[in-house]
Amino acid sequence: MINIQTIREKDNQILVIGNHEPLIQSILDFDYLSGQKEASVIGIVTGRRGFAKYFWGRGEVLIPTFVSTSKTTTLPAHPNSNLWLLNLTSGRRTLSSTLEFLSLQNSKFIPHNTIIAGASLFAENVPELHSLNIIENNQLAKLIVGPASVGLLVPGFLKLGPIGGITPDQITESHITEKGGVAVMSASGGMTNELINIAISSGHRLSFALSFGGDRFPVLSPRDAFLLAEQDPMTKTVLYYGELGGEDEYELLKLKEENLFTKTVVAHVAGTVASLFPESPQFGHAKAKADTARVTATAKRAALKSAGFQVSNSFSEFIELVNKLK
Amino acid sequence: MARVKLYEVDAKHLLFPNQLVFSATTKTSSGELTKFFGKQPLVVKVDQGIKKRGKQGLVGVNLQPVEVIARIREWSDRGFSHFIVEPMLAHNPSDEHYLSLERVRGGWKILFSEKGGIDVESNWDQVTDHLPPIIHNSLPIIQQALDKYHISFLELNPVLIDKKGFLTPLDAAALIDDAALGLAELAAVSLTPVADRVMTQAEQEIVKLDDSTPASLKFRLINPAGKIWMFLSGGGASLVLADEVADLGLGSELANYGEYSGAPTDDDVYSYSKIILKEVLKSQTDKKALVIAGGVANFTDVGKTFKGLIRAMDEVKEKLAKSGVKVFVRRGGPNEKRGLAMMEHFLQESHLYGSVHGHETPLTNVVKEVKEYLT
Repeated sequence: MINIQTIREKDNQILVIGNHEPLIQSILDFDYLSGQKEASVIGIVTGRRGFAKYFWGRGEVLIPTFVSTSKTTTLPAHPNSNLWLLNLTSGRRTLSSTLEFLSLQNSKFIPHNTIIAGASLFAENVPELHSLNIIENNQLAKLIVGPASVGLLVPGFLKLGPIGGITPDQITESHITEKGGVAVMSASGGMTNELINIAISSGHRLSFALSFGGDRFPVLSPRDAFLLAEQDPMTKTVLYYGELGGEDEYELLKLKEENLFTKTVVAHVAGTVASLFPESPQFGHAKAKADTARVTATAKRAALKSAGFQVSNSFSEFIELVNKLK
Repeated sequence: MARVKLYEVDAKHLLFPNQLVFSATTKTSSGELTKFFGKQPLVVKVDQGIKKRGKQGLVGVNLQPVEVIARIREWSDRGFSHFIVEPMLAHNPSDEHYLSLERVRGGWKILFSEKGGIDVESNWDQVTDHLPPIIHNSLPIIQQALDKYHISFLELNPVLIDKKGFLTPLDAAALIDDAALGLAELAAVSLTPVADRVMTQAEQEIVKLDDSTPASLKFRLINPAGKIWMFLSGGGASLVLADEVADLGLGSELANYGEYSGAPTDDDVYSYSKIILKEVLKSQTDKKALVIAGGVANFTDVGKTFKGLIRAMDEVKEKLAKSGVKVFVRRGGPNEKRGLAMMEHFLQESHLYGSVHGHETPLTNVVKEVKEYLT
């Protein structure tokens, strides 16, 4: 899998499947405000061949649009760059469109030294088996966040999704073009932004940020993401947001036990409110339901604490812990 | 977007097509049962995804068709509507085993116990991932069927296992991935998951509304007499805010849990708020707090969604003020400034103002303000 440092060292180019104008514009705004020479979005699969007009600073750019991923014959990919997919298709089509993109690696449309680096899968309601199919096909070769992810952000270099906000105000006020040492990881899209907000307002800047998505089987697991943070020379601290349900936090525990992760972590696991109900309800995200005591928020908080992570007992305390970080 | 319960009848039809099962309702007659089963003794159970049915008196064994119907009548008086009828299978209690399969990252988590049946939980130390070899004769076929129908979890307890490893479950519980229900391969079998619980009128109305839009609108009533009413946005932030209410010791005052997300239109938010405000006004406590809060949205337009909320509150603003309602707001995201200014203006004017904050105020501060107001 690509490491975060390589994202900083090479050109990043994005193919978008699906159309969401404000979102695509926000990526271009991010590129422009980061001082990049060109827009990272180099093609949009809209179902129609032609061009789409976007703002580039005070000027405009034309981005080629394509009928389908397999017909991106004139995709202007640079040699020696990272090629990313921003997949905005529906939950039902996420699997087929993602596999189609991954298979571009061997196509003649792409300069031979340009690598397919990864993808962000935006859709909710991707069937579990489809996610597992992507995981199996990928075998950790590419950095794929989602499904139900708001994306991946490397300040100054890559904004792959709505992560960090979509209006120019949000991008400047949230300082997401400035580089720092805090990595943000979250199961929830909204909370990814909230954690970014907390880090920034306590005076920190980000090394990278990503959202796993709230599904049962995120392609990039929290364990994989922690390893990315460990290997990243810029990252000093990880802010982690998880929820009740699923076993992912226990995998983090193992990392620590195996001494594969050594950096500072401040973590919050939400979902203690479930105890007000006779039986754990299904909360907003697909994974957010505790069928056994082991996967309640309380149990997972205790487990992470025992591994030596800083774990908050309430979200207010999480904010305090972040404020205390050096 | 989650794992939901299947009816036992459906699970057995799909996974054990050789077993005789009959799906009964309050309208089923003994004649139908006789025609289907002949004269053999029968078992009848409530089939609504309920755990420990035996201990709750929701199972009848060794019955004739007329007795089955009598039992169904009895249960329907208690509010149950779905039943499963099967032939009574004579067996030795020591032949009752436990088997469960759960879809996990990288394959299946399979658990087995020699000692199955109603007391499996008190013998949980005997449940292991060590499987009797004979069972591998059946597993591949079952796993194939679980994949085919996107079933994520199956529990057979008790289950009888013959000398060839062939499985005959007496009870079966299954969870299906509801994200797959719309796929072509499942459309053909047309499965309806079990309703999780009996829903209130307002909850039903919001389910209907949720089905009519691509955005997500959720609402669950916890305590209709509660003082704290939540209008939350985002799956994660809503959980964090509801947690904070419980963590600050206000759990008993929490009236509801819910969230709207995925860029709903102002009309969506208007209809959603209208239904909840009706519930707020029903609550008879002297002081009430409305919490309109969420994280820093990625792409949900704060201005737009607040417009819908204000429209709904505007229709009942006098009633809200009279019943001691104050509104506490914290939200960030696209068009935050416009949305917050609009909200502040409306709340001041209609005497509902508690507080209004943007992204610069920590998410959960608003819950502390609510606590101060209520105590």
